[in-house]
Amino acid sequence: MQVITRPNDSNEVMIIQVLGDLDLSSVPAVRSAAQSAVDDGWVHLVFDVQDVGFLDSAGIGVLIGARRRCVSSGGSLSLVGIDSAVHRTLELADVGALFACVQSVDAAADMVKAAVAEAAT
Amino acid sequence: MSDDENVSGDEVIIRVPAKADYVALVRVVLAAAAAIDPDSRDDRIDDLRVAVSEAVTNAVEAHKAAGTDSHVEVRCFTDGHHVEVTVRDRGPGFNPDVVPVVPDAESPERLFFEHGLGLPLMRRLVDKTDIESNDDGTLVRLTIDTSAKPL
Repeated sequence: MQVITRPNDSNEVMIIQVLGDLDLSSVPAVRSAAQSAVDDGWVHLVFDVQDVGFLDSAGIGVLIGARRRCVSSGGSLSLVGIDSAVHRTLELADVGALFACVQSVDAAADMVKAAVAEAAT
Repeated sequence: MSDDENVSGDEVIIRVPAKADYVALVRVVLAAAAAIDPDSRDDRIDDLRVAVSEAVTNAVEAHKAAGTDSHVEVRCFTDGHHVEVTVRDRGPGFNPDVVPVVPDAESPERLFFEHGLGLPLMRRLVDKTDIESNDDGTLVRLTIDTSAKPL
């Protein structure tokens, strides 16, 4: 499992790309990446999970914790590239409604821009 | 995988260290064993994979709580598309009838509950979940028909 973090091209969101299974063994690295991003002032996180083929409740727990940190800082958390098996696990765990699942990082960034613009009016 | 693994007929037995890194190994081996049956459905194997991961994760965390370095034992019995998996740990045990009350997903309070998802998820994924738990540890038994449509 590998975690890669980078901001999107226009610096609206921090992308946290997870490569591999999202389970108990990957919790420390993913939690640390999300915490570091929020600590650095990135309140809008996009989890790129297109290379995550497996998710269980330990992985869901770390996503919930990351979203809580974002929301408490006035931000958001989106999931990009979610596959059908991972989506099914979220639904069966009754947490599908907690996460915005979007098609691309650009779409997530557009949502952030729209939310920021709306808040400014 | 250790030398302790025995394969006999339709039974696969694995004993792994109670460490997070071994959870994936168990679910991969058991999913592969269950998928040998030609009538098994991919989506049911996926369900079994997640349920096994939940059970083994709970065992690893139970051993951590108990401070024991003993192994977790997992057995998989297959009879065609009928699969039974047992996961035994030597943790402190728990009351499986006490289900944590978790707020609805639409509630802001829901974000404060990172744990307690595994047991309900396990129960939704397989046909039957039996849990025997006492001070000496916990035995989780998962039963699934891998040829049937998902629940």
